[in-house]
Amino acid sequence: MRDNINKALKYSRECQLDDLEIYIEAGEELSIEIRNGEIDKFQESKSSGVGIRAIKNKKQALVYGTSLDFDELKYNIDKAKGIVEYLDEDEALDLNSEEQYDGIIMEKEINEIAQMPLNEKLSYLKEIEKQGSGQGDLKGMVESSSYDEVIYTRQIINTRGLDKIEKGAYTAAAISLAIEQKGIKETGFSYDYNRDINKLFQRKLGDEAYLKAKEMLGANQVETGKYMVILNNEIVVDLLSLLSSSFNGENLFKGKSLYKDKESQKIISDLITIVDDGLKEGVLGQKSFDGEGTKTQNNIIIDKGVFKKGIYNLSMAKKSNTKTTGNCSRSYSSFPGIGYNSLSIEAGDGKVEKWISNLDQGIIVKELMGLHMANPITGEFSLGASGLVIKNGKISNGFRGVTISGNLNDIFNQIVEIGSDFEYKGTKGAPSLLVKDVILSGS
Amino acid sequence: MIDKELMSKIIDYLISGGGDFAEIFLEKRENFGISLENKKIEKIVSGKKTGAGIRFVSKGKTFFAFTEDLSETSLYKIAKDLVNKNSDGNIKKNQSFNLITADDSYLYRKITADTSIEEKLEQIIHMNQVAWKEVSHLNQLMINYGQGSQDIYIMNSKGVFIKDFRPRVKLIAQGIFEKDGQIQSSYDAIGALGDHQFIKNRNLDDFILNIIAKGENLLNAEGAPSGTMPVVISGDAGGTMVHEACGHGLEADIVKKGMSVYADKIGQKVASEKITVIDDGTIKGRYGTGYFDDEGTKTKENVLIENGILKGYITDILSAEELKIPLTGNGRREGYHALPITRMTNTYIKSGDDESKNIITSVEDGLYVHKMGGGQVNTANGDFVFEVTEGYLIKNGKLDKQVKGATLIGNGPDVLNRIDMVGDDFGYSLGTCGKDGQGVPVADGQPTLRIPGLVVGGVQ
Repeated sequence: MRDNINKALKYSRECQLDDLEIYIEAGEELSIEIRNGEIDKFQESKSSGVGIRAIKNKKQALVYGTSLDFDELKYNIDKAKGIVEYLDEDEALDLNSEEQYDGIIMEKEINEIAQMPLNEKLSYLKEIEKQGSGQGDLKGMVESSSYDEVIYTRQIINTRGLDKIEKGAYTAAAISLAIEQKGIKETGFSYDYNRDINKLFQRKLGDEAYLKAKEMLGANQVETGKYMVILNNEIVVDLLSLLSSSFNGENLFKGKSLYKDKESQKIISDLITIVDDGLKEGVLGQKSFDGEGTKTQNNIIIDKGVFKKGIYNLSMAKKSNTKTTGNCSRSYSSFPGIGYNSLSIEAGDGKVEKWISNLDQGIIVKELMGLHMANPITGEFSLGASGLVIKNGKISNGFRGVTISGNLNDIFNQIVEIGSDFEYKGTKGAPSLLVKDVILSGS
Repeated sequence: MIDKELMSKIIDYLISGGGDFAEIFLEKRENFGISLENKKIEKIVSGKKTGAGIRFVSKGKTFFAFTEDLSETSLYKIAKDLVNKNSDGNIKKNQSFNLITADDSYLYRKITADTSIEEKLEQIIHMNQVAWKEVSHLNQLMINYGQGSQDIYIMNSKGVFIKDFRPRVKLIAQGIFEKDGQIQSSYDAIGALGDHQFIKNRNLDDFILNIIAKGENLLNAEGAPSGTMPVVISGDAGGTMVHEACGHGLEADIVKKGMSVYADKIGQKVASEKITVIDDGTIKGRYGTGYFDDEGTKTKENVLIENGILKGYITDILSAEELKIPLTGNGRREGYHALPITRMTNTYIKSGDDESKNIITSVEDGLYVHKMGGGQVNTANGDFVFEVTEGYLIKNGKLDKQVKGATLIGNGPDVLNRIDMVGDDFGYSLGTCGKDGQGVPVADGQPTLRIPGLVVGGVQ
């Protein structure tokens, strides 16, 4: 394999390309789904992809394939050479040279996952399925309980001497279920990602999903109006994902951001601090280098409401007169883009139970529907919402069939308090937020 | 890719190893894309993936693996890993296979020699020039052109052996507009089961100028109102509502798990008698069309709801067997790396008898949806949402101001039952439908519809 890569780099010189970069992703995946205590689906796979980025005269082309055979690499280099002529010049185009750092090899996590007997994985699934079925009269109908594991390698090599490799692993589990009462089904869904398989197995996902469905039984609409709202930490992660599009250096540069030209200005509530930290150990977003081989770092994006800096890759940084922040995001089949490594809103010290008991009338939003419909460029959103109604300091009933709408910038300015209940949902994390004057539409 | 004999040997091996069903899905997928942004050709990507997905079903359990290594050793290793270890090891010769090749009658046009990169680039650059020539608040324009093809062979232990070729082409453009600190965006997409001829035969100037006009209008639109009101959805609005309000709930893999509001309701009234819902994978050139589905079942026209009565579900092989209902040609997959699941193709509400132009005039005070965007559904309780990308208020039976930022939310069976006017017009939109992490191309359509009361989630 190594020989073929070296031959490919050499061949690119012979073809008069200025530079060549090879980005390789390989993975071994296992995915198990059970139903009624038995395996329903069992998938095992090994896959790999090879992306070739060819650069000539400040132009770049990308050709990808699935093999490291020299014949295929050569074919793809020739193809890239043919395509590259058609692109427009990009003055800021750049590649990394050799840097002084070592890629992470997560040996412990990989071994623990690989050595965990299949039976243990199945028993965990059966256990959460059993939890999800509930006890007593209210039966939980479990749609599926699934377990996934991924052991991956990322590798980047280029003609400027860059040569880095990273190996990692993570596991995930999910359960979705419904509880039926009076002919109406309410659903509950719960999942977790963890690099540490033993920690994953400690999560009682079945109980969590069951409780989510149960508290929604008898849900109805709420009246249209402005409410004091508790945004549950899972929802805050969703809203953070939308907001974060505006701190993406490419969007800032191309005018696709609410916060263009607003660096150093206070843009949202001073209670909010947002960081992106690719170095943070143990979390799903940990990465030793980004898609261009730049070492990742800890970036403070919003400091107490003030916009400190956006995130960048090499070429966008050059265009924007700044430095790369180690946020090149890509796959083998895509050009270098920009994305977050491990993004989070820092926790505060508010307690959700206390917020509830202090509210005469309020709403807890626990789930959003149609997140992909929100427009991160304008910040405007109107999404389906469901959750719980608070009356006289207590949770009174569930609600759904309602929309929550507004502008992200307004929502993040109307924050009253930040929760202490920080939690990761995939690569992003956030605490719950107490927000005033949120528009809900219903009956 | 690989030969018939090897494929059938592996099928025999799997069945002899205790399989009730075995399948090989071979795919060669080629993709080509051009992206223009910031007035520059920023990206050209070309790629190819070839792989095989092998499925093995034994006593209700599905085992699946895929590989990009199509050598005999690699495929046998996978098959071996998959089979029941208690196999007696005797390979029984199962059956003979006769290849059925999809004909090209469902493609937009017969495939011709591919247009050169130069010509495609010329068209994209031309659209960019047309857009910027217009006096507007346009601040950024993205044009993405994507062309791809799938070469597929499927063989299974039920004797299916088919070959299909699916070229697809798509053009997407999005404009970003800015005025006095306000940003708006507008978007459109066209595409077909076919090659570049489809794009060539469109009026691309109109396509791009429409996007500019839509964005410009949005800058002057007011925030949509909030609350429950009468809603008219135009025949030009696309088909997101039918896709979400009932399409997903009629997928048999969801039904069999009891996770659909439409489960156990065949023969019952689930919609207004004005409503007939059809899923049809055979419509020539449509984005969701295919000659076969991804399990080798011939696609067809499936009437799902007829005059309000639930007639059937769409199925893949396993869900059809479990529910003991017919195969409908809806077993689809994103590629060789994924298991087939029940998916829609081209789904629509059939035109009715109400004169479309009278539908707006019939509403005193409400919302007119001219274009829908994306949507989502919870199939278990039937709640669905969809986005309004172009909407207007209706005042005294006439279109009034344009409004922005609205999402509509409703409950599938409830809304379908309350639709009280169904227009005599019709229109389609296309998209990529996501389910279980797999995206497949679909199209949806409907005539103009009136719903007497629906929750509008606006910003005022």
